Parts: sequence; structure tokens; C-alpha cells
Amino acid sequence: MTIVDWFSCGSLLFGAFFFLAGTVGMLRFPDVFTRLHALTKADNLGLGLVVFGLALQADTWVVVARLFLVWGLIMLASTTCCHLVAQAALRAGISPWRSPK
Amino acid sequence: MTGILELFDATLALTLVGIAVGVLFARDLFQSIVLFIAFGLLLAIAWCRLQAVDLALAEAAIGAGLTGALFLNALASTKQNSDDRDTLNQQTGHRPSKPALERLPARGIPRWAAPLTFLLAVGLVAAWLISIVAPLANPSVAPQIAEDKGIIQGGVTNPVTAVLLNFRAHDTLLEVVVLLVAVLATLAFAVSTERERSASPASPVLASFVALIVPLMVLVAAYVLWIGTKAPGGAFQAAALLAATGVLIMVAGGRPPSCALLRWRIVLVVGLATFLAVALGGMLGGRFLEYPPSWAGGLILLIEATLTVSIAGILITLFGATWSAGDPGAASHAGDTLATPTTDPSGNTP
Repeated sequence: MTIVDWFSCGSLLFGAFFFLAGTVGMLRFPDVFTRLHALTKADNLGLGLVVFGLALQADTWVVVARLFLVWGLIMLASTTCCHLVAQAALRAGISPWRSPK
Repeated sequence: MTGILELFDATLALTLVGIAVGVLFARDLFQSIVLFIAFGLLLAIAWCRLQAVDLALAEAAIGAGLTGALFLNALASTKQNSDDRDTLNQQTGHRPSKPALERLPARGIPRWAAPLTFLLAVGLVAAWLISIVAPLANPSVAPQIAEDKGIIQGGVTNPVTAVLLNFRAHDTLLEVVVLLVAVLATLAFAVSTERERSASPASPVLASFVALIVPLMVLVAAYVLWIGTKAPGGAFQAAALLAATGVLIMVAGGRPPSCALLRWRIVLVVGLATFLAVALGGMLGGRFLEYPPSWAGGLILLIEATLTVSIAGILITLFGATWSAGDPGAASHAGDTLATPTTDPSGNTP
């Protein structure tokens, strides 16, 4: 394994960790807003790290550009979806969770 | 490494079955729909693993995306209708004004019309998806393709496109007819469902997202159509992308196109008309649906381009038939407003 492979591997694993953390967050966090936070973290950072890891392995720059384009578009979409879900939740009268203490 | 891939495949297959059971036994319909969309996306990954990228694209865009949107839409409009009816029974006033297309007598709309519309739309789209799969499973065309080695005779180098639009063009032609009939049937039963405008004013974030993403989606649809002659892609996938664009615009506040407009009707039938014209033209030199080998590539691209427009129009109409977020009074002549999402600056800040 070359040094590039190690970087790539580390980036992919770190990205996978963010997805795992996002999933755990979605299952364990107390309300819709905090869950959205966990999910968008996975989309932004987790996918970004996965894309970075894959880009290191790409053969041509076109593939690299496409990978980053996919990342950018998914960030746009997930941000918009997050906003819409949060807005709908607020309209439905769900108030953000507060620490009981 | 093969061990890991097999483990992945096994997990994927088991998850698919698990989610399918979840769809059937979910507590409420909304939950079922969300699980159904997840099922479609995972199924697309499964198709990728089976090297059927064409199907994966179609499944993700139509099976998960558009069918999911149709389901959610139908669920919302059936709820809305039953709410309307409840208030209507209390007060004997007339129903709100309807778009020109749906000028049916209000009392003439039976209770089962909306669920039936929903069943028709979903059933026919499903039948259409199945009929995409069916020709691929038919072994009789396989030797013919193998002989041609690169489908030179078929006019295109993507074997799936060659099968869909040349060797098995009959199936594709009839699929388009089925889709068109689905739209006619849906429109015949369509119940106007004006929603409370205040309930869902367009969000400025959504509006700017749509403004950014729509040109890109149209570009990608054109690319998918063009690349379909030599790599996975083609008319159905491109049409699904265009239709998704239309759905996004409607969700962001654009009005659904009206079938009362002649130009929208032309959009709906242009694909089938071109396909039929080419098919009949083939009879001059040979048989029905037989293309001259030297022209096959160009003719297939022509058919695919017009089919893309028509199928996208059909899918948009299916979605729009139960979706009207726009101003009810202006809905009757709103066909061209699809291109411009109306952003309502007032009353959209939370």
C-alpha cells in the first residue's frame, strides 16, 4: 500500500464513522431538530470524507470533478430538505427539545 | 475480498425483504410510503450489484422518487378530500371553484374517485416498470445481440437501448400507449384538490434551491438521453429526471400544467406520434417497426428524444392531477407557469 492508499483508507473509514455517528444520533436523539442535525452531519462531513477518499483513487480528473460535484449537490439537497423538515415541524407546533435540568 | 462483497449482498437482500415486510405492516400509510421509498433506493443498489445500471437508474428515479411522490400526493389528497367532505356535509354551500379541466358537478364525484385515481396511477406506472424488465428477461433476443457484437445492426451500442427501441420496440411502443391511457384515465377521475394556501407557502430556501437545481437537472436529463445510445441511460431515465424537475417546481409553488392547453396535449402525444410515424415509415421498405440499418441510430435517437418529452409530460400530469398548490382561480390557464416557480415573498418567513 502506498501512502496515497493509506490516506484514502483513513478518509473512507473516518467518513464511515460519521455515517455511523449520524445513524446513532438519528436513533438516540430526543427530537426531530436534533436528529436533523445528526443526519446532515453525516451527509456533509461523512460523505465529504468518503468522496475525498475515493477521489484519491480516481484515475482521471474528470472522475474527481464528478465526485465533488455529487458531494456539492447532495449538500445542497440535504440542507434544503433539513430546512423543509424543520420548518414543517415548527409549523406543526413541535417545539425544540430542551434539557430537562 | 469476495467474502466481503457476498456479505454485503446478503445484507442487502435481507434488508430488502425486511423493508418489504415493513411496508406491508407499517402502522400508518405515511410510514409505509417512507419505507417504500427506502425500499426503492436499496433496490436500485441491488440492480447495480447485478450490473443492470439502466434498471438501477429507472428504479431510483421512478420506482423510489416519482412513485413515492405520487403516493405521498395521493395520501395527502385523499385526506384533504375526506376533510372537505366533512365540512361540506355540515354547510350546504358550494365547493370552491375548480380549474377548467375538472368542471365536474361537485355532487357527482363519488367517494371512491380519489383512491381509484391513486390506484390507477400507481398500478399503471408499476405495470410499465415491469414491462421494462420483461423484455430483458426474454432469452430469445440474447443470441441476436451476441451475434451482432456491439449491436451495429441495432444502430446503438448500448444493448439495453437496442433491445428497448429496436429488437423489442413493440413492447416499448405499447408501454407508451399504456402510459397515455393512464393519464387519460387519471384525468377523467381527477378530483380538484385546492389546498389551503396558508398551509404550505413556498419556502425561500426551497425556491432558491429549485432555481439552482432545475437547469442542472435539465442538462443531466439531456446527457442521460444522449449517452443512452452507448452507455446506461436513455429515454425513460431522462424522462424520469425531467418529471422530477417538474415535480420539484410544483412543490416549490409552480402550478401544474393544464391539459386544456393544446401545446401541453402535443407534449403528451409527440413521443407516441413520432414512434408510430417511424414504425409505419418502416413498412415502406420492410415491416412494421423495422428501421433501415443505416438510419437506425438516428431514428432511435429521434424516437428517444420525443419519448423523453412525452413520458416526462405524462409523469408530470399524473403528479399534477392531484396537486394544486397554486391560486385556484388562475389554475385553468396556467400551463406555461410551470417554467417559472412562483416565489411568494410574503408570509414565507417562519
